[in-house]
Amino acid sequence: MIDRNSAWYKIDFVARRATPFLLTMMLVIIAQAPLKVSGVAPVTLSVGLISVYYWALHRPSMLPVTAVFCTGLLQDILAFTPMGLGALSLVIVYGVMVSQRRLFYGKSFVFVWWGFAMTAVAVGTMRWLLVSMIEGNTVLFMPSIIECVLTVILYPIFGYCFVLVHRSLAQEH
Amino acid sequence: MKYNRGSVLRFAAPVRNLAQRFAYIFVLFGALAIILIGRADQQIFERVRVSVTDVVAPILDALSRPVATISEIIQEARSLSKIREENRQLKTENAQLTQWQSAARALAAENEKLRHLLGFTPDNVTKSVTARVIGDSGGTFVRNILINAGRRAGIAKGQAALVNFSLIGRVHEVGERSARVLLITDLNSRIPVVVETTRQRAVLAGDNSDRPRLLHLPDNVSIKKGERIVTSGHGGVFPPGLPVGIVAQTTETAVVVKPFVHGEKVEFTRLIDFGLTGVLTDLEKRTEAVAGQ
Repeated sequence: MIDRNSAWYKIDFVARRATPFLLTMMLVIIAQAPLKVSGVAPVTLSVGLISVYYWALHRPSMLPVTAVFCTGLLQDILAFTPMGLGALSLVIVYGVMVSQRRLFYGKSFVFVWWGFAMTAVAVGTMRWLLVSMIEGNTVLFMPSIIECVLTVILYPIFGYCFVLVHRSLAQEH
Repeated sequence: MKYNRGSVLRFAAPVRNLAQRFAYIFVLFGALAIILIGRADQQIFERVRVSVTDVVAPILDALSRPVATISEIIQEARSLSKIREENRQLKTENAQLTQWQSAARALAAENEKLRHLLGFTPDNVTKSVTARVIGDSGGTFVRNILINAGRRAGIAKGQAALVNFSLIGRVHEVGERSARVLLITDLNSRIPVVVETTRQRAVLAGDNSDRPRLLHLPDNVSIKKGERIVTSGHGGVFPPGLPVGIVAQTTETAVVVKPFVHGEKVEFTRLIDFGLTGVLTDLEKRTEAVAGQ
């Protein structure tokens, strides 16, 4: 029998609830580290998008919208993109995914991946349009395509890690 | 006291739903508002950005070390295959440089003599700080790097960031222990330059690609491929003569410059205070005005 009022239970509960958020923040920070191999173009990846997509689809209660907003802001701050841009795009993705959860319910991984690819393309285009509007000038589109392709390709790796985290969090004592 | 869990839930669920929906709309408009405010006043979030970056900087600093080591190992393995060719090249280069060295020594001695004759007071010795690159933006929309030195190390806005004496960018934002360097390839970078041989003035403008362009060139000017581009010193941000790059391509519409150093591939950079930051804001206004024309 679990004592739901014990301090340990509460700490455990909070830790479980905060894990996806902390994990996402950590990934956003790590993604900023200069992960470059000489001779290879710098790898750009929107880890925030992968995380928000995954948790919005599988357990939105684990990553509330305020956490998504904070993730987006941190991303903007660290990557020096216009403030609010990442926050807006992630919040939109979150809203769309939470409302479309039924569409993905019980579907194969490939379907979820395809959904992610569509989302990444839509978000990439939206971000590009917004930045072009903010800068008052069309910015290069190619880097957006590279980022989008890399993010989609690497989705399964991150997705798998999230599944592991998700499972370990769902385990009861 | 015991609650009737069922009825509490029946009451709580719609309220929670409503609250969540409200939170969602609030956050959505919050993000939009931040974009609009940031667009109207670009400096308004600077302090928040700088302080958050300062907090994250030690983590990035720690992360950048193993990454740099792995990167070095890979580079080492790659260069092993080319070692013979490189050795031959270096020997030729060394022979040439020895000649240059003797020439430079003779010139330095002559310079010293002439200065002595003129009673010339040399410029203030410039201060320099070497910093490690601890973050890069990836370059989707911006081109800049984060370094692990800030105000405490004497970094200030406007300082030139050099690698091997070539310009890679200038300090754009400074925190206590971190700073952001806007690379010359960034969309918002405008640097007054001259073509070294012809002294033709121009503005080097980044466009987020690896190859910035020369702007504001007169129509009749011909610039050859391979010519060196150096800072002109106009506007007072950088001293004249800092090497920037060479002309990589000239077409009818654009003169494209290949920077000497790829700013996103460096691990360390040297920040130099030439004491010329006073007119920086003025320059920014002027380049904006020029760009707007």
